[in-house]
Amino acid sequence: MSKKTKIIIVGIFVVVVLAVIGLTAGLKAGKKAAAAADTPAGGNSFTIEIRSERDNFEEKIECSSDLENLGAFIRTLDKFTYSESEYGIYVQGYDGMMEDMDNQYWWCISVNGEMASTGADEILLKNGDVYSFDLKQGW
Amino acid sequence: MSTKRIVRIALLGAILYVCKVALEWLPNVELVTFLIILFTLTMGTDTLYVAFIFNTLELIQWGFGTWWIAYLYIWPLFAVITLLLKKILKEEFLMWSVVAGCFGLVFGALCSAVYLFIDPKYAWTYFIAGLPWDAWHAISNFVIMLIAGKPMYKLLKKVNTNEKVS
Repeated sequence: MSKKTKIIIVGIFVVVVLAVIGLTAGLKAGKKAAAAADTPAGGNSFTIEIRSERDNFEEKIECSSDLENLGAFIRTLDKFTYSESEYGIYVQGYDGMMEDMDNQYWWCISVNGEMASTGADEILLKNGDVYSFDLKQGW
Repeated sequence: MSTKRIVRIALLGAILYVCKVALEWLPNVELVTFLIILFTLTMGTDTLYVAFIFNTLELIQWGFGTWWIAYLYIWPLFAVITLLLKKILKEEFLMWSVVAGCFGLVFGALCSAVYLFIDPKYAWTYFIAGLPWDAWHAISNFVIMLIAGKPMYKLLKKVNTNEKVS
C-alpha cells in the first residue's frame, strides 16, 4: 500500500470522526437552543409530584425556574436526598423517605406520566410539564 | 481439535474477559477490539471460538440483556472483517489502527440494531445518543492499536511459532 493511500485513508477516518463529534455538538446545541426558545421569560412553570405508597405520602409542588434541567432544580431543594454518580444526579430520598435496596424500594422519575429513560440531569425543564417521583417496589 | 488448541482458545477467551473487566471503569476504552483483531491475525478462525467464550463469560457476569444479543454478532463480525482484510492490509498497523477505529465508530450502530426489531424509534434514539461515545471509542481504539498493535502482534506471532516448533 503506497504512502499516499495510507495518508488518504487516515485522513478520511479523522474527518469522519471529527464529523461525528461535530454532529453531536451541533445536535446538543440545537437541543439547547430549542429548549431556550421554549422557555418563557422568567423561567418555566412546572409541577413536581412526590408519591410514596409505603409512607402514605403524596405532595404536589407548583414550581417555577429558569434552570435548564430537572437535576439542577432538584439540587436546589433541601428535601431531596441525592448522590452524584458518573451518570449524574441519583435521587435516594425525599423528606426522609429513603430508598431501600434490600426491599427493592427505589425512586422512579416520570415525565408527564411516562417513565424517564434518562437521569434527571438529562430531563429538560419545560413549561407545563409534570415531573413525578414515585417510590416503587420491585424491579 | 487438539488439546493444545482447545486450551489456547480457552486461555485467550479468559484473557479477553479479564482485559475487559480491567478497563470497565473507563467508558468506551477497551482492549477487546484490539485483541480480537490481533488474535484473528495470528490465529485465524479460532478467534470465533475465543469470542464465543468471551460472550459466555460476559453472560455469566452480567446476566441476559439485549446488549448480549448484540455481542453475539459484533465480536464475531469484527473477527470475520479482520480475516477478510488480512490479505489486503497484512502487517500495516497504521491501517489496522484505522480499522480498529472504524470498529469503535460503528459499535453503537451495531448495538442499536437489536432494538430495530423492538422499537425502530428507540433504536434511532439509542444510536444518536451514543454518537459521542462512539467517537471516543473510535479514538481510543485507534490510539491503542497504533501504540501497541505491532509489538503485541510480534509477540503473539512468536508465541505461535514457538508452539508450532514444540
